[in-house]
Amino acid sequence: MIQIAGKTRTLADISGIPAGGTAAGILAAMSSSPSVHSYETDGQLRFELNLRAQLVEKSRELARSGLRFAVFRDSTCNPDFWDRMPNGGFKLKKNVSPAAAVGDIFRNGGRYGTECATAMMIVLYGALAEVYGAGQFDRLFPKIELMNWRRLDPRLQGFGELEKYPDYLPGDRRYFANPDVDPLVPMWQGENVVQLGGGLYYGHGVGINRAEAIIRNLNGNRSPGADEPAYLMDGAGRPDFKKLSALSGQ
Amino acid sequence: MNRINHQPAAVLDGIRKTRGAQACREFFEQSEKNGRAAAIKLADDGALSFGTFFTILPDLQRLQMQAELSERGRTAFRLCETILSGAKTGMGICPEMNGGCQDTLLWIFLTGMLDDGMDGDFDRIIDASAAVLAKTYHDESFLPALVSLIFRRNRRGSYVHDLAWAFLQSHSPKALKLAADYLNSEDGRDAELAEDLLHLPHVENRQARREQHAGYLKWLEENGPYLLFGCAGFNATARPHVCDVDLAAKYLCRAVPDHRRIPKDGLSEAEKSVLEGFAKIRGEEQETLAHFSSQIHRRNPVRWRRWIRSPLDAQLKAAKKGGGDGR
Repeated sequence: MIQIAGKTRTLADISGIPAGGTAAGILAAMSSSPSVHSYETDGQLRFELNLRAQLVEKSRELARSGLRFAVFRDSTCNPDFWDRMPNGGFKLKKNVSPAAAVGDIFRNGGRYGTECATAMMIVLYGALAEVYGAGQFDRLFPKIELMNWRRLDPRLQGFGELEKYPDYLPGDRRYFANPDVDPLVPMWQGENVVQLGGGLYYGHGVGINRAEAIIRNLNGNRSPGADEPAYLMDGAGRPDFKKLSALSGQ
Repeated sequence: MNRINHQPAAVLDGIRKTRGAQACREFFEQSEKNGRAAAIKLADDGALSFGTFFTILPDLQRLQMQAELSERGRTAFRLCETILSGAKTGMGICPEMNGGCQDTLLWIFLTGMLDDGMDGDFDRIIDASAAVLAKTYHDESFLPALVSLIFRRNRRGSYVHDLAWAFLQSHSPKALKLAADYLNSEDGRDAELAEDLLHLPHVENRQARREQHAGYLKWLEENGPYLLFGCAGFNATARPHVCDVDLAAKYLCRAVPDHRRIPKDGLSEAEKSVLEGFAKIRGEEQETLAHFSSQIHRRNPVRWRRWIRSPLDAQLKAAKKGGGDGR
């Protein structure tokens, strides 16, 4: 169910969302959900739809970019835009456009190698750059660190948390956990993914796949005698769409 | 207990520390030329540090000495090869999970951490050893060293991701206590990492940190026996949900075995009956009852036995009234 300014809205009340697109699918899922998706303004809803659709689009784009999988110890980046930090993360270089630097990862993915958590951040920043436009994005995010969730911009913290929600939507960050992972291959401890819709997920290293395939991959990297299979955790990382909407002026 | 023997310094360690890695390798190579058995003896020296073993590892490989080494040497050799090849292991290092393997991993970690930062591959092996010790063996003896290394690296701004994961996989209240001690650190980087490891909110000033530290230790003392540990690390979230309190176990004052939920068939009929009522009340009331139960159980077991057999309404009434000190 969708509520705007306290009033329930049907799909027919919300115009201008291109039919058949990702945003329309998300809108339909929200509308048919038994839980209430509540907004103060129409603009807040449209911002969330737009950002979620971009998260899906950027996931697909990153999957095609040639971005390599590398553990943080072996991570690589394009030094024209990023400094590689001792912890394996990437720090935006001074005097470089954040939007251009993030865009370079999508254009020249083969020059970068990192883990799945960092890939999720790249998707998020890429989506935000699309939604805000390069100029505003550069003003809003002049300092970017890409590593694990501890280095995330405080305004995006929700994307790095895992909270339970009544329903999960395309654009949510989800997590497949692998409790019995072989400790000598900790990179298989779990898989960060973006929910794409249609039962598909994008995870860096596993590509675009169904849940069963991702679980199969993770299960193949457990210790002998493992009795607990990998599973999709009941939780999602979501940025605070309403606060981000306010930053955009919508 | 630290199982590393305190022996006179190994010859190769002394050469490496005073004359450097290259001199150490040259000495080892010359020893092998003089007599293979003598070289093997140097590599198997009980006092040898893993840092030096790692230094001569290329020579051990080149001279095909693996099979002639002691169990410690052979296990360390296999571990290094497996980790550095990045191969899927299937835990082939320690197929029998024997004590010898655990001792070797302890040797690698405890003597190796002194040379932390020597080399990227070297650190990779240190971290992998920590992961196996914590996750497979649940070894608690190395936890002080593990926590110390995590925070030392964090201060340097170097790589803590895998060691932090090992910490979280230890599933040990002892590990939580060790990390909690950094909440009170004068160094803000320590406190921030401790907060993240323990799933606590970030607080800014020293006074608030002192209070957070004291509050956490009190919480840990009360709930330590009833903790159920999660599997998520910094890979999944900024502040991994390290553990939950098993309220039913706390209510029954039954420590959870291996920090897993008590299986139903492990409960007596009386306990099952008591838990049926407990399961039907709201979460907040469960917390109240569990807290009260643990308090009076510790302070007045006779009163506790009376109280736990009383009807649930009466239990709640007593719990809400307080007096968990047993008076």
